[in-house]
Parts: sequence; structure tokens; C-alpha cells
Amino acid sequence: MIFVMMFSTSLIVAQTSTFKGRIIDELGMPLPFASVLIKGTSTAVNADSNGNFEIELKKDNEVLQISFLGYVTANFETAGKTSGVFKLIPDSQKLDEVVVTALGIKKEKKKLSYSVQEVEGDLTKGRDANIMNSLSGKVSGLIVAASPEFFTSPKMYLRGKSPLIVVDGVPLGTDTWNISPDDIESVNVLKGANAAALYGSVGGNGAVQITTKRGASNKKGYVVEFNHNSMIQGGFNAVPTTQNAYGPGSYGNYAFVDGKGGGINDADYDQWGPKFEGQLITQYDSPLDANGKLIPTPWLARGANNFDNFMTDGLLSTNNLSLASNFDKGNIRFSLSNTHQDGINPNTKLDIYNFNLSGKYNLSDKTWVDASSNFNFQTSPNNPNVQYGPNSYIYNMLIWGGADYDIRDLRDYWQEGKEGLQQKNFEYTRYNNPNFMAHEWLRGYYKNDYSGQISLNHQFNDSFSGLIRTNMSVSNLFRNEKFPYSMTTYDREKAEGDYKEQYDYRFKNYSDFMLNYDKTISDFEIKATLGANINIEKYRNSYATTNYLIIPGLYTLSNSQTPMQPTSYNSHYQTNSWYGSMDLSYKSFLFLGATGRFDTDSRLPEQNNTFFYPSVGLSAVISEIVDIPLVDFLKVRTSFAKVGGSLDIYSNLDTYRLRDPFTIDGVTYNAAYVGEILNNDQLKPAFNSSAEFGMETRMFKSRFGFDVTYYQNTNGPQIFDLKYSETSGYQGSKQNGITTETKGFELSAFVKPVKSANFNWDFRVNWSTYKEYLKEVYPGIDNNGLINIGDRVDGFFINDFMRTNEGKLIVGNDGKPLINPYKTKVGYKAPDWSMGITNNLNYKNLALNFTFDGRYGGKIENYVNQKMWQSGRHADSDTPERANDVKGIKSYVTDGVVITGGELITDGQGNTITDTRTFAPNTTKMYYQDYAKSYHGNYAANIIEKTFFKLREISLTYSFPDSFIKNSFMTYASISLVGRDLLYFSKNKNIDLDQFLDESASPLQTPTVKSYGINLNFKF
Amino acid sequence: MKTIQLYKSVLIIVMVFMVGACTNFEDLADDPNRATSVPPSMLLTEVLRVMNNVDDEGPWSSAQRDNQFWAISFDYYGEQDYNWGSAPLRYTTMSNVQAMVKEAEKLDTKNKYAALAKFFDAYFLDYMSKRMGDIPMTESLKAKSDDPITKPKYDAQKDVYIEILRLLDAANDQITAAKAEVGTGAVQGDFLYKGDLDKWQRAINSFHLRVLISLSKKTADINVISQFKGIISNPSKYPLMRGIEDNMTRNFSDENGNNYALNPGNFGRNRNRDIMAGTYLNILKQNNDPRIYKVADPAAFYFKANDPLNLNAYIPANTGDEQGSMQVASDEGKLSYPSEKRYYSNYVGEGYILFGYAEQQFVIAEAINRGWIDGSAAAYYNQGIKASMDFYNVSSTDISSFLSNANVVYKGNNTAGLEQILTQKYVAFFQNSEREAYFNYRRTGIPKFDVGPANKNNGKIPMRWKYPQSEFETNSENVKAALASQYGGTDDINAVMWLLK
Repeated sequence: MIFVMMFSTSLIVAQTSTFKGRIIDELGMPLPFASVLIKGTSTAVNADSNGNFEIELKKDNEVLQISFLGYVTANFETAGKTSGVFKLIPDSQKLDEVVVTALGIKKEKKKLSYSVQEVEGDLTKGRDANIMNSLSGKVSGLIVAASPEFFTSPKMYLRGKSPLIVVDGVPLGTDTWNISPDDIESVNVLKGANAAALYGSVGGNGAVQITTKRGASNKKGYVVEFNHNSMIQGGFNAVPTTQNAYGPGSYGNYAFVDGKGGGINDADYDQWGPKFEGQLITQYDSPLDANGKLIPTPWLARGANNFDNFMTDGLLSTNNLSLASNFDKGNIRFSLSNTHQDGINPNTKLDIYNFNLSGKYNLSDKTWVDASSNFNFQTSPNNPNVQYGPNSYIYNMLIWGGADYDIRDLRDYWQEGKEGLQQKNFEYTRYNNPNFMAHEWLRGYYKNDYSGQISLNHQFNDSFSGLIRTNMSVSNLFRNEKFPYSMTTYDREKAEGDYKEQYDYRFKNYSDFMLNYDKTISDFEIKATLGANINIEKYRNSYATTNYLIIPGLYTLSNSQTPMQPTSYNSHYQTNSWYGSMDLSYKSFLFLGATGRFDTDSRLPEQNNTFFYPSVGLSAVISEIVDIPLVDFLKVRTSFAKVGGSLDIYSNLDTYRLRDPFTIDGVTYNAAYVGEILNNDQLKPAFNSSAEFGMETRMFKSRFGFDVTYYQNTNGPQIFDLKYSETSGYQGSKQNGITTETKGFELSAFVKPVKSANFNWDFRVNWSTYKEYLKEVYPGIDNNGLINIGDRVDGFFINDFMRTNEGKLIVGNDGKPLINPYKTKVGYKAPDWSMGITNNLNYKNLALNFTFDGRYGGKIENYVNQKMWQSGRHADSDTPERANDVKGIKSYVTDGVVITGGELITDGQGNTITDTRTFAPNTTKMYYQDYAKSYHGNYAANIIEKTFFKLREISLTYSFPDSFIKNSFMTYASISLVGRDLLYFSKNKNIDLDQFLDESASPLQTPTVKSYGINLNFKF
Repeated sequence: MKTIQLYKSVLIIVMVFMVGACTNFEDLADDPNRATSVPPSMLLTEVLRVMNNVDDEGPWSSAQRDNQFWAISFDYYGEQDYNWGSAPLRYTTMSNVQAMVKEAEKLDTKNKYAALAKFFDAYFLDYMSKRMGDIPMTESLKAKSDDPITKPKYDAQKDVYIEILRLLDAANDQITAAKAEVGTGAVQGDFLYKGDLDKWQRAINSFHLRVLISLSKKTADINVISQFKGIISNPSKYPLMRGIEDNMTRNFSDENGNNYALNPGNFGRNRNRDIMAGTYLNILKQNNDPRIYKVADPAAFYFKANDPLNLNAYIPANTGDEQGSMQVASDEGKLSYPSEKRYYSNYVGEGYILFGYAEQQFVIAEAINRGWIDGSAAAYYNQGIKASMDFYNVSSTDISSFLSNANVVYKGNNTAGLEQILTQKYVAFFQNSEREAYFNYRRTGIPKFDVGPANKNNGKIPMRWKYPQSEFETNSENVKAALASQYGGTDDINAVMWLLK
């Protein structure tokens, strides 16, 4: 954010020992947060957002060293002056931008031989409860698949694989809910193995690195910052729409008696029932006559708006207060964040409290200690279960539940006289009253995370420095579930309640020792690092559930009808590593870098548990040696890296597995079985390698620039389950094999179409594509299931409809389509490409930022659509033929052919040997219901393209002018209007495609909503 | 100095962490959550669990629809289209049988488990071969051996059956020896016979007879008849089941994970969708069979309270009927459902007979009818009927009047008599004995199975299942060779295997 203020003489007020200054660029625009150091001391300040600074001078004549990224560092003498305006000259020749590379090692970006991209823009404005969602569209090659579900982390894919998350140089041991955007200084992404090789096997897919804020100060010696953000979440982006013309039942038949199968289709029903025409039908709330029989009441679509009436608007509110200070011996920063969210599902809420303390203490000029700690509470007393089933509101209200009842009539959800025992509902076998679910079926989530990090740094001399660092993180998670009497779900049809508890404990200790060497000899510079690392991870879990409750409403584990069978799990592993890196520079032109790492991993078989892997890279800044017109900077780079990997813990051992116990005639039986995959003592580590070529340029005085990367990742030989014929007695064995190759291309570019004193426009685009192919499997084997060598690994195979050579649907004698028993390929699952656009526009005190992103191509099965067709609730199912169904008339004729003779003979894999079939047009009249369920309700009819785009985030910020600020106690104030996910573009509006990358079918999802609100930011 | 002190103390703290971190790697390699050795009883439970495949083949499963005992009107929960896919393999379960033998070797019960193991091997080979045809046998189960075979060749079905018969003989011999052991422990983990080896032996020999009768078309290829004679003529060596108390029965309970398939919890889900099928119900109606009142409810639309036993109110759905019409008829109350009293009043239901005394008596009756052995087919036939009636607690007067019914009285060792035996055997299989009703139909054509518009197999009842697709992905050459030698290279479900030729 850049604020343009006219230079004001009023700022220059003579003070005996305070020097005031303003830092501007060549166009006279302020350089916000530029750093000012009194040379020869450790006293330093940062300018504010308007480029203004104040610094206390001890002597009259000091030298101020003023620096700003991308500009030539300049020295100014203060002798005789109390103020000054300092113009920095952009250094287009020497953009020595420093980035954080693996393990937190800072390097000049121009020297890197691999792809690193920094996240541009503000992460605090159009925020989501999870910080990772704010990265969406901002990094080429990084896909953040946002989850529509409450308190659910997005899935992250970097070049198609899951990246490592790193905070301050150490892999995250807890979770991303621990990170408040207000505490983030910067985020950068190490795109692949090339960049992240020093992290070892966990870095094989690249890393998202977060650097947290440290101490800062202004003239008062400290900065207090307060940020408040409130957003309303409501207005559906993607929600299934329904027909409201027909109610529950089948073929137009329905009559309620007891909701338990005593009536006609009054239990576990479809939505293929009678048309809502006011006719008299017995219903769940029909009055009783003198004999206790239900009196039929008018059949009307009373609940056409049930879902809207049931769901609520959500609220996401976050507050952050931080205090930061620099002092002569170091710095300190304390930050407190609270995130409060009310979900759009009723009675769901989340609170996250985050306490963060970080500081640096200089023991001497050459020795300092840096430490940070983070304490985090996450509490959610109710967190909905959205899986397909009677636990889901979508299942109960939009798929299988109808419009025949009004949800608002069921707000008093207990039956009179049976409070605590029996819910009141419109059906009593399969479905639940959503109000009852919201307030009585509760799933609590309570997590405490603690992490602490301390490092001791020492500069031995000009060339040598060292660091010892240790980080520990501990997570304690408690989850429980209260399942009341009369609630039903799959396999709990007795509906006598349950209570479940789960404890999870995670521990991670990550310790490093690092020795750095840095030396310049004439035109050559050498930088080397030697390090060692120990990583320890432990996990403990215990889980227990009752088997129905004895006393209704008493949620304790001992209140179980039959004795419980709790389960437990423990794991513990360790990796010891040595690593080294070396960077050679020749002038500021040619750079050669190499790394190597030895790991010893306890999860691998002992004889093969130590392994080595290297990386090497070369880059050249062409613009240093050739003067290309209009080009400010041009760099080419190439690198190769290999990273070793481990395997899932305890997955290569010869052990028995246990089944869930079962009881017959009072005796409990425990079955054990042999693991179906044979272990392998000779197993070697897995390896990934990656080759990358890139080019980076800036031109027209840095008004335009781009960075392109082509990469080829060889994933393998992996550790995989080599499939055996099951007739051998085993399903397979653990082996080294399967190599896939991912080929991808990434582009990120920026344009600054307007750059002036009052108006600036910064436009960035990120675009990427990749495809993964099967390259090798195992000696003598050329397929992995249906995927053959050379094929893409994300081929989408389904049991399609049977069709004639002309493409006509082949139907059976009942008019229902025939399904091919063999699978055929209908496309690919992964998207063709993904892109993101960010725009930052500044006009005087106003700033408008927005991000637009999405993905193109790839296929998935729309499961919600399929289920809605099966249930009869699909909006398109209200057809003329359906009206005949309810009159008992079969009138639908499937557009297809029937087999009149002959036979299709295939081999065992569905390849045609002979086909003598003859066909005739189908003339069989059938119920529309039967057609809809068997055609539209089939998986094969619901394969859709995953293309979608979203207006991801938008913010309009007004920063209060200095003229206003200077009379207040504040040093900075801004107010923003913010929005997130305001628009969703897709052919399929009944599903939000954002969460999918290469899944075969969509699960049920909570409808996605728009978020909009305000953000306030103050600094004191 | 102060600085140095602090420096040192930080260094010490870090060193302590790093040293504390150096756990012995060997200790970390083992999985603390799993056992490397388990009692053989736990493996026996696993094998019995798979053998009693109640989800797929037990009461009211899709297998019982294929047997044409019941039909489903609700297409969402299933159909009866006979468009069969592949049969399940049981080799990983046979690995568990091997593991059971290995784990028992350290124990004094090793002969007992080993005897049962021979039976299980025979049972699963028969299970797979009668579904598909040729299957791997001699080269199977060798993935873990010193000279591992991961792509076993297929053995001809004939050789598989010769081995099955040998294993059953050997199982009988070993169990005779094991029974005689004094002071050895009992077999545990057995939810069928609670470790009673005598009952196991009778069941094994009864099963042996089932396998022999299934080879009724192969008397020229295998010495089926002499083996059958050998068993019947030597009851002291080959004890057989003596009554329904010897049935191999799996009981259900009102306890976790073991409820009967139909119960009060799913009444609402199943009631108007699970319909009595015509192939079965019409036999009961024709013979005025008292079992009809035990297993089925009359159709509400036709039921008259003043004439509750009128068989005209028992209206089945035909397996081949189009499901939409079936559901409409059901909603109009025009179809018979499974007895609410018998099947929906509790979670325990009735025991599931995997193979039983009634079947055994019908098998012997058939052997007599076919002239394999001497004896009174009528006596065995009547015992089979009575055993089935006893399962349903039919009163003895009703049993006697049924047995004297002209339709039911045995018509002699001729085709009519054989049809009676097989028809009553079919009725006795109701909701029991996995797919044995279908296998008997496949072998004999009795009773006639219904085919209609719901059939999606060219109007045919299939003759077999396909080989699993995984075999084409992992053992392609051998499975293709097996298809070529048996079925001209196709994996057709209507092709006829050696057993049936």
C-alpha cells in the first residue's frame, strides 16, 4: 500500500536530538517501511507507510544508512540538520532482493537457480478463518482447494502434490489454524524439490514458507497495532436446487401412518410421491379422529423454502492486537488474536485464540538469541458432519427430505411428554429433524497447541557464523460426540443414543545445527552451509464409543448398554540428517549452487535406512553482461534435484490386523487376519527428482516482468504395493517401483500500467499447467491397474452406458439403460490449467485490491446431482411424463434401442470379439421415475467438467490522511470494505468445484457462501 | 562473562534436547500397535467370518434374491437383473488358514486346527471353482514361499475337484485322530460349533456328500459314486449329521455387529420393498405347505379376516417382473411380504444354516433316486422335509398331513421323484445355505427359475461368474489361458463349465 502525501513543511519541527526524515523514490513517491540505520550502531527504525521516519540521534553528526528493497542503499550525513528528504535511486541493475530459502536461510533472489515466488498483497483483509485460503490464485503452480466445510483446512497442491508448510524455517508441527495473518511478515513458496531439497524428504514436493513478524518500533519506542475484521457469510454461491411440485413417496403413492413403514412409503422414502395439489392425505401432523386414526389434511408444498429457512448467516470476526518494540539489545513482539466464527449451519461455532511471543536478544555484537512461542486454543462445541448420510442437512432436506413439511413447525423438536427421549419429525426411520440434529447431535472439538522455538546465533568472524536451533510443538486434541436417543444414522437404527470420545496427542521436536561460511575473493563469492538435523515425531490416539446408552441424555462412556471396546494407537519415529549447501557466485552474473543431504530414517528397513540425495543449479543474469534495450533484468536458470523419501510408519512390517469384535450368544469374538501386502526387508527409500528451467525478466523500468518455469518431476521409484495375483495368497508386496513423470509449466507476470504520484495500478497474473504420466512400474510389468505405461495417471475410468456404434443408448426390456460391465476412459481428472489474477489499484488514499482465480478442465462425478435424481428432488425432474406417473400411467419412452437378436462376445477385459447384435428402436413405455433413476441417477450420467472461476477476494481501503492522523494518538489508521468469494462462475451451480483436484466423485458439501464486511487497522 | 554464561547455558539446553533425541532406531522400527503372533483361535474366527459371508450370501441378501426366494421392488436398494460380474476370490482367506495352522504348531491343539484347515481349503476351492471354473491351485498360495509364485497358473476344474475330495477325506481322517487325543486343549474362537469336533466331523462328511452330488454329471470322469457309497456304507468312519441340532448354524444376536438382516430397526426401510418371490412361494401354495404361514404375510388387499388361511391372499412377485409395477402393486397392498412376526419382531431372527441335516438327507435321497446307493429314498426325502419343518416349528400334525399330501408323497426313483426331492430341497434352502439353491437349479433345472423384463442377461439365468478384473491386471496370461481352454476366450456368464457338462 502506497500513500502519496504532498511534502509538508509542518512535519519538520526542530527538535534537539530527533531527526525527522522522509524517504521517496525517483518519482517522489514515498517508500513505505524503508529502513534507516545509524551507521556503526545497532539503532535502526523503519519508516511508516508514508515513508516518514523519526530517529533519535546521540551525536549531532551521524551517518544514516537508508535502504529499501530494489533500491541502491544510500548514506546521508546529518551534520547540522534536523530533517531531510531522501531520494533513493532504483537499482534496476542490481535487484538484490533477499528471499527466505529452505531452512530459513536468506539468499539473494537473483542468485537462485530454482523457482521461488513471493505472495504479493495483503493477507489480512479479505480473509478466511484459515490463512492458507488467502494464498489462492497468488502463486503459479499452487492450488489451494478451499473446503466449503466449517473449520476445515483447504487442500494444498503444489505442482499437483501436497507441499510442506514451514514457519520461520521449521516445518509446521501443528496445524494452519495456528497462524494468524496479522502475525505474518511474508509468505513465499519454494516450488519444488529443487528449492526444498534441504528440508529432506518432507520437502520433496516443495514448501510454503511463512515468516512471522518481529519487533519494530517508532519514535515512542514501540508500535501497537490493532486489526479488526468482521464478515457476514451468507448468500449461496453453489447450492442444490429442488423441485417443489411433488412430495415424498414412490410412483405418486404416499400416506403417513407412523413414519416407520406402517403407512404407504412413509419411511425411508424417495421424493417421487404425490403432486402437491391440496388433495387430502394423512401426514405427520394430521389430527387424530375419535378412534385415534389420522384425519387426512391438504397436501401442499409447505416447506418449499425449508433449507433457506433453516440455514443462518455466518459471521467471521477476528481481532488482533500486537505490541512490538526494538531496543538496543534486540526486539520483542507480542500478539494476541481471536477468531470467532458462527457457521451457516445452525448452532455451529468456532473460537481460536492465538498468543504469540517472539523476541531477539543480542548477547553481544556477535551473539544473539532468537526465540518465539505460540500458544493456541481451538474450540468448537459443535462441528457438523457433512458426510453423506442421515447426519447431513443436505441429505435430510435437499435430497431425501421433501417440501411436504415446514421446518419452522418442527422447531420444538421433542415430542410432548417424551422430552429427552423422542424427537418430533416428519418420518421415524431414516431421517432426522434438522432442528433436533442442530441442537442435540453435537460434535465438540477442543485443541490446544503449543510450540516454542529458540535459536542461538553466533558470528565467529567475518566469514564464519553458526546457529543452533530447536523447535518443539505439542498438540492435544479432544473430540466428543453426543448422539441422542431417537436420532438415527446408518447402523444405529435402534436409535438409543451414543457417546464417543477421542484423544489425540502429537509431539514434534525439530532441532538443527548449522555452520555458515561466507567469503568473497575478488570476483568470486562463496557461501557454504553445513548442518545437522534431528526430527522426532510422536503420535498417540485413544478412542472409545458406547454401544447405545442406558440412561438417555447422560453422555459418559460408562453409560453403555454393552461393555465398550476402546481402541488406541501409538507411533514414534525419528530422522537424523546431515546436510550441506554451497553457493558460488562469479561477479554478479553467474551463480552455481549445490546441496546434499544424508538422512537416516527409522521408518525404513535398517539396512537401507540411510540415504543421500543432491541438488545442483546454475543461473546467469544475462542483463549483467549484455545490454538489452528496455530490459532491466534478465535471468536464466536451471536446476536438478533429487530427494529421498520414507514410507508410512509401520507399513512394511509382518504383523496381524484385528477386526472389530462381534458378539454371538454372549461370547465376544475377535478376529485377526494376515496383512494382505507382504513386507520387504530389502526395501529402499523412495526418490523424487526434478529438473527445472526458468527465465525471469523485468523491463520498461520494472513496469513489466515475468517469470516462466518449465519443470519435469520424476516421482519415483516410489515405494508402492506391487500387485500380485490374489490367487498367490497375497494382494501384493512392498516394492520400489512406479515412476511417474509430471511435466508442467508455470508463468507469473506483472504489469504496472499506471505509475504516478496519485494513481498506481499493479496487475499480476499466475498461470500454470501440469500433466502426470506413468513412466515405469516394475520389471516385467507395464500397467498399474487400468493405467498403462505412457498414459496419464489421472485417467478417469467409469462403467459407462452401453451404446451402439452410432452412439445410441441400449436399453433393456424394461426400458432401463444397460451398463457396460467393463470400465472405459471418459477423460482425465486433473484440471488442464489453473490461473489467478490480482489487481492492486491505488488512488490517493484509496486502494482497491481484488483477486480472481479458478481452474479449467478436468472431470469429476457430480454426486449431489446423481443423488437428487435418484431421490426425485432434482429441479429438472418435474416433467410432463412425471405427471403421468402419479396417475398410474407409464408414458416415458427412453430414447434408445433394444437388442432384438444376436450377441456381443467380448474377451475378459471387454474387448469385442464378435458382435452380432441387432437393434430396434425402444418402444417400451415406462414410469418416468424408473427412467430418471436408472439414467440420470446413474454415475455415468453425471460426469461433469470441473471448470470454475471465483472472485476470490476484494478490498477497498481508505487510509486516513496524515493531516488527520497527526492530531490523534494514532500513527496509522485505515478502514476497508472487504469481500471474499463474492462471485462463483461455473456451469454447475449445485456444487462448488473449488475443493476438488483429482477426486472421482464429489461428496456432499455445505453450500458455499459469500463473505463481506469491514476491516479496521490502527497503529499507535 | 555474563554473556558467555548465558551462551553456555543455552548451548547446554540445546545439547540436552539433541542427546535426548537420540533414541535407538531399532526400538522405533517395531509397531507397538500390532501383534506379530496371535492365537490360532483369532484366525479361525476370521476364516469362519468369511465362510459365513452373511452380508452377501446370508439371509435376505442379494444371493437369496438370485435364489428367487424373495424379490426387491425398490431399484435403489437392488435389482434382480442377473447381469452378474465377477465372483470373489478366497485366497487371502486361505492364507489365514495357513497362518492358523502355523500359529497352532506351537500348541497341543495343532492337529485339531490342522484338520479344520483341510476342510477350509476344500470349502474355499469348491466355493471358487463352482462359481468360475478353472482356478489356480497347485501354484496358488506361494507368494510367501522361498520360491515365490506371484502369477499362478490355473488348474483344470477336474483336478481341483479331485483335490477337494482328497482334502475332505484327509480332514475326516485327521479329525478322527484329533478327537481321540486326550488332555489337549479345545478349539477356541469357533462361533459355529463352540469347538465341538464331533459336530465338525459330521459337518465335514455332510459337506463331502454335497460336493459329490454336485458332481452328478461327472460320474464318468471321477469315481463319485464309489466315494459316495464309501461314506454311506461306513458310518463309523464317516459319521454324518443326525438331526437339525447338527446343522452348521450361525446365530445372530441383539449385540453389536451381529443383528439378523431383517429386524425392527429396518422394518420401515424394507417392509414394502422386500417381496416374497414366486418361484418359492408358488411351490408352497401348490402343496398347501404349512411353512407359508410361518414365512410370509398375506397381501393386505386380498386378506380376509374371516378366512385368514386362504392361500389366494398369498401373492408373490415374480423375479423377472419389472420393478416399477412391482412397487406400485406393493403400495396397493397386493403382494405378500416376509412374515412380520417371524422376521421383524427382534434383532436375533433365526439362525443361518450354512449347510444342514435337511440338505444332507435330500442329497442321500437323490443318490438313491439316481441308483448310486441302495436304500429308501422316500425315507430320506421325508426326513429332509421334516427337518425343514422343524426349523420352522411346524406342528407334527401339520407335518404328517403335509407328508400325506398327494403332491408330496414320494413318487419313486424316477424323474418325478427326483423333481420332488429337488423341489423340497429348494424349499428347505429358503434364506439359508448361501447360493446352494441356485447351484442345484443350475445342475438340475429344478425348480424352474423365473425370467422376465427385469432380466438384463439376454433373458437367461447365468451359468457362472466372471473372473475378477484384478486377475487380468495381475495374472493376465494365465487367466486368459484358462478362458481359452474353457470358454473359447470369452468370460461369458452364460458359458458352461466342465462341472456342468
